[in-house]
Amino acid sequence: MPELRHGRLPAMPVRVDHLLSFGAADAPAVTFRSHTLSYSELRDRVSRAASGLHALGVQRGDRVVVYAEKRIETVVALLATAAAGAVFVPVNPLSRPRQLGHVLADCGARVVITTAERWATVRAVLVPDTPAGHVVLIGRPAGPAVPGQGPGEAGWRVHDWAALARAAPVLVPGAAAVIDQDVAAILYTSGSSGQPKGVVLSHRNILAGAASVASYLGHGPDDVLLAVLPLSFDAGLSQVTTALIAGAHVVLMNYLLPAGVIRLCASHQITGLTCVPPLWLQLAGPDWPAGATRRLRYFASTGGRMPRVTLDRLRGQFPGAEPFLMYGLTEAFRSAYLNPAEVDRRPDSIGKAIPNAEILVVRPDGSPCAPGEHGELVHRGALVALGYWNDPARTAERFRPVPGSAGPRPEIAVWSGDTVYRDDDGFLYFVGRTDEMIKTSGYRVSPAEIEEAAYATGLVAEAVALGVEDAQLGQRIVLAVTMRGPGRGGDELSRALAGQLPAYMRPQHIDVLPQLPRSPNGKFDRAGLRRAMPHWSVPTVAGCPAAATSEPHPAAAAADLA
Amino acid sequence: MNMPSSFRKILLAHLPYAASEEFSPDDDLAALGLDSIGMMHLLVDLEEAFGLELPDEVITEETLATAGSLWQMVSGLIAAELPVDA
Repeated sequence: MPELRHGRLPAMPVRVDHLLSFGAADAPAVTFRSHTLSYSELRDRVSRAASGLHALGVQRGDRVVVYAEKRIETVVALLATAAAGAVFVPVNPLSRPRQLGHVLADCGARVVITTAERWATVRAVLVPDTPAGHVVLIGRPAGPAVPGQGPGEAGWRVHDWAALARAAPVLVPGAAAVIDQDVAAILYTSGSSGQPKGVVLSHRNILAGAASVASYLGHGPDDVLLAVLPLSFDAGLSQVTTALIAGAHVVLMNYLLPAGVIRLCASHQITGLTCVPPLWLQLAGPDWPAGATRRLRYFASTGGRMPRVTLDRLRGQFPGAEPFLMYGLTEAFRSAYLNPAEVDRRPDSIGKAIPNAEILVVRPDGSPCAPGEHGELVHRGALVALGYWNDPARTAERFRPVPGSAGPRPEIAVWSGDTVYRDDDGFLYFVGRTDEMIKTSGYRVSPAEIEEAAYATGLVAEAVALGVEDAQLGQRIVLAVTMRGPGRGGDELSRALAGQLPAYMRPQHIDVLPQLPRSPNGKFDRAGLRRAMPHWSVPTVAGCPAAATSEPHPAAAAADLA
Repeated sequence: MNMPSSFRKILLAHLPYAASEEFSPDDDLAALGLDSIGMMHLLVDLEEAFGLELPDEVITEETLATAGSLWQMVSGLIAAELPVDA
C-alpha cells in the first residue's frame, strides 16, 4: 500500500487493502484481546508485511495460505497479501490436516502463514518440492522443530513473522499493476459431497460486497463490530471488510462460549453483531445484561434460517437493536437481506437483493417464475465470483449466462442451486437447497419447514431434518434434535409435532442427540449428520412401516414413531 | 505451577495443535486449537477424571485462556472437595 503512505489516496479502491484508506488515522481499526491498532498503525503494519512478502519473492497472483485463529496478525497477513498483489487463501482455523492438505495442494500455495503452534500440523501436509515455497510462523519460535525434516518440506523455507513484518515499506512493483478484476482471494467451501471447492473472488467482488453490505447495515466510523465468524467464511471476512470500508472498529474473537460474546459486547460497547443460526440459538439462551447491549443497534443472521422463536427471543433481549436476516452464497459473496421494517410482516422472508445485485427466480428453462412459484435463485451483478479454482466442470455448472440476457456478450450469473419463491410484493423465501429438498409420498417438503415446526414446540434446542431413501415413500423424513433441558424425550416432541404438521410432513423417525455436528463455519453439517447416522440409510422392506425397521442409534436415545 | 500428568494427558487429547503434554502454564488454549465443541468434551473429561462438577460460573473465557488458568480453576475445585481433615 505504499501509494497511500504518500498521502495520495486512490480515486477509487482497486485492491482489498485499499479499504484501509477509509479510516481516520487515529481511529481504532482492529482489536484482539487487550491490543488495539489504529488505522495508521494497521496501514503501517500492512505495508511492512507486504514488503516482507515481496522480499520473499511473492509475485502478483501467487497464492498465500493463511492458517491461524483470529488475531491481529491474521488480519495483517490477509491485507498484506492483497497489498503485495498476491491472492489470500484463508483456511478455517478448525480445519484438520486432511482439509488443509487439500487446500495447499489445490491452490498451489507459494507461501503459508501460520502460527508456531500449528507448525507441526502444517509441515505434515506441505506439498513436496514446491519451488521457492515459504512458511512464515507467527508467535514464539518453535525451537528445535523449525529445521526442515517433514516429508513435504524439501524446497520449503521457514521464516519468522516478526522479522518479515518489520521490513521497511517499499513500493511493491507487481501490486501497482493489479486491477480490481484480478483474483484477490480463494475461499474454500464444503459441498454436500466431495472435497471443498475454492471460490475465486476478485478484488471487485470483495470491495463491491463490502460497500453494499456496509451501506444497508448503515456502518459508520462510530460502529464497533464483533467478528465472531471465521475469516475463511464469506460472512466472516465481510465482518472485517464492512468495518474497514466505513472506518469502523472491528473486535476479533475466537468463539468458545456465549458468555465470551456477551462480555466483549459489554466491554467494547459493540454496535453490530452477525452470527449463524446455531450460534444465535446458544446466544439466545442466557440473559444479557443491559450494559452489554446498550449500544447494540443491529443483530444479523446469515448461513441458514433463524427459527422464529429464537428471533423473537433475541428481539426481546435486544430491544434497541434492529434484526437483519440475510442470505448469501459464497459464489456471490452476499446476496439478499430483509429490511428490518419488514420483519414483523414477513419474518420468514430472506428479503430482497442487496444493493447493486439483482436476484432472479427462474424455471429450469430460464423463464421467470410467477409469484409463489418455486424456482432457482439466480444472482447477477458485481458480486458474482470468478468461478471455482481448478474446476472448469463445476464452474460451468454453477456460473452460467444470465437467462434472457440481451447484451452483445453473455453475462455470467451464479445459478445458486437454491430453491426459492417470491411473494406478490417481490420478497424472497428460501425453500431449500435443491439437493436437500425431501421428496416424500409424492410431496416436496422443505427441511426448513419441519425444523421450524420443531422449534415452535419449544421443546428442542437444535433441529435438522433430512430425507433418507425409502422403498415406499421415495424418501422418509428423519429429524435429529437436541432437547431443551434434561428428561425430555422424542415421544413428547412427536406428540407436539403431530398437532403442528400434516401427516406427510411428520418425521417418521426422531433421534435425540447430545449435540448436532457443525461445519467449520458453525453451520449445521447435514452431510456429516447423515454419515454419523448410518442406521437412517437402512433400506426399508416393502410392507413394513419405516420406523419399525430402523435401529436406534446406540449413542442416542432414539424415539421410534410409527 | 505443577500440573499433574493426568491433567496434561486430558488436555493434550483435546488440543489438536499441541505436540506433547509438556505444557507450560501460559500456553494459549485457543492457539492450540481449542474450539467450542472441543471445550465441551474437555470439560466432560475433566469432570470424570477428577470426580468434579464444574459449575457454569467457573467456566469463563478467563479460566479457559491458558493451560495454567484452567488448572488453577480445576485444582481449586479439587481442593474445595477434599474433606477438611484430609
